[in-house]
Amino acid sequence: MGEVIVSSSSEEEEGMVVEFETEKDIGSSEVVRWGEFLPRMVLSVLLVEADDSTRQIIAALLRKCSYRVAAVPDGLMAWETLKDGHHNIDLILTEVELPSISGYALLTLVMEHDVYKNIPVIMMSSQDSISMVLKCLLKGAADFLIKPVRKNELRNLWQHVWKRQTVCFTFKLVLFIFLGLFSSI
Amino acid sequence: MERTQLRRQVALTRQSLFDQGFLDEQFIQLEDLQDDANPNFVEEVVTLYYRDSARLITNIEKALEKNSLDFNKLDGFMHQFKGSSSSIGAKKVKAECTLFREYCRAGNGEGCTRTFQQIKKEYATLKRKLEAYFQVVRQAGPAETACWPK
Repeated sequence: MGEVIVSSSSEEEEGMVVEFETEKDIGSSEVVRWGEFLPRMVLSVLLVEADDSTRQIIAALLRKCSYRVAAVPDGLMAWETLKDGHHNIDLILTEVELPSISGYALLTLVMEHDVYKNIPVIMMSSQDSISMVLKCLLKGAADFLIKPVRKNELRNLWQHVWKRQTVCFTFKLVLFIFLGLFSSI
Repeated sequence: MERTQLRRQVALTRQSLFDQGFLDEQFIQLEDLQDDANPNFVEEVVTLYYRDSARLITNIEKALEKNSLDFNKLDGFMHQFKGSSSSIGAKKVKAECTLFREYCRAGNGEGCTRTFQQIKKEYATLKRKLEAYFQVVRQAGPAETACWPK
């Protein structure tokens, strides 16, 4: 089992579309679809899980949630997959216990890298050891899921990516509005 | 129609697996993942499980044969095996695994060995039952797997 499996479901081409609707109140009841300003996100998840059947299941769950999935069985392969740059990983979902390097060690590698540290890392484990959870969160993990992971938990993973990207976007939006108001004087 | 009878047999076989405590709701999650794009998902994952876990069983067996037991190592193997078994909804196997880990923590070698025999028994029984189930499913035809009452 030494291969990276990348897959996406057929329905997934739609991606995760975030849409807002609000009314622009400048003397008309025109509706502005802010969604047009937001990027269509088809997220790529790097799934790191040593157990074959569990990995198959979580990969299928992720695909059902419209994510693209690159699934690997150990930490070193995960690191290699990140580095080869072909998959443009948006989010890492990793089991704490892995052969070769541990999930925590992988988390550390990611957090200490100038570029990859911006990729949210979500840990998962069947053990709810408080000390392990704290250790990972303190190291910079975005979240910690207890197995068995449910589809709705995976469905919400995009929010971790969106939060990181959105800070930059919100600033641009505020600037846009401010300049727009300023130029209409 | 013979088809209807086969379908009824599939439903009954499936229900009995749940009623007799062999499977839990995690198995239903597997069924939910089966669709037109993955028409044999459940059987594929279960096959993967039995192939992979055979290795773990051998490792545990070898570890139990040693004169002085390494309980940490045994617990580690069992943690993996339990996780794997949970992922396919193997309820009875999972329960015995929990018991095994308790014995590991207590350093009770005899308890471990006894429980392990029980694990192997449950593991083999479930394999037999699931093989029989998948055989009926295949006989009933592809449409059968599409709509389970939730």
